[in-house]
Amino acid sequence: MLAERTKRLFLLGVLLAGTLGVTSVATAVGVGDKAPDFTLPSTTGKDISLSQFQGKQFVLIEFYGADFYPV
Amino acid sequence: MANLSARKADYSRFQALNIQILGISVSNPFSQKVLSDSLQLPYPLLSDAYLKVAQAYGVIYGSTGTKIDYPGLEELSAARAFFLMDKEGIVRGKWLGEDMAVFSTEVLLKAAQEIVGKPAENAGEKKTSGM
Repeated sequence: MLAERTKRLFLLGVLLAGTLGVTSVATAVGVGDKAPDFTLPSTTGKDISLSQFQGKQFVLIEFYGADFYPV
Repeated sequence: MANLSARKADYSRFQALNIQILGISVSNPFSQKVLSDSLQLPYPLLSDAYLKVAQAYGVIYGSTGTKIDYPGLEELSAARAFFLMDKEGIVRGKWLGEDMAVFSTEVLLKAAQEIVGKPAENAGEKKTSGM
């Protein structure tokens, strides 16, 4: 009886974890969200972080595929 | 490339709005430097070599629902996408672009003009009038 209950709880846990996992993968940053900070090497020769503009400037990020794409 | 150049052409208008443009791609810094120099871009390009930033923003190529023009590159680069952040680091605008089209700078500038002067809805306290 107890073993059966434990098994059910385990299965429920697995199902829940699976659902949450799928949700987190599908989540994208949207309007109103705090933008994830990052630090990356740049063409200025120095690393650039998003947080360095905090309190100073707005930032427009343009993600693009790769250099020398047709457009 | 025409996309990056489009932002270059109107760079002063972004500057007037106190907006810093950052281009981000999976390319390495050496390749980006050649591209940046050849286009004489007035804003920096950043190398997201492991796509960690594209992943964090949810814009991995093939995952955003936009048309795929380069089959086989899914999960190997970023989709064309734009995020406008305010001074507090809150996302105030987001746009997804197509690969084979130049995304209109006018769309970005028009939205930016409206957003820049307006505080985020949940940000700060409302000022009371009078005493």
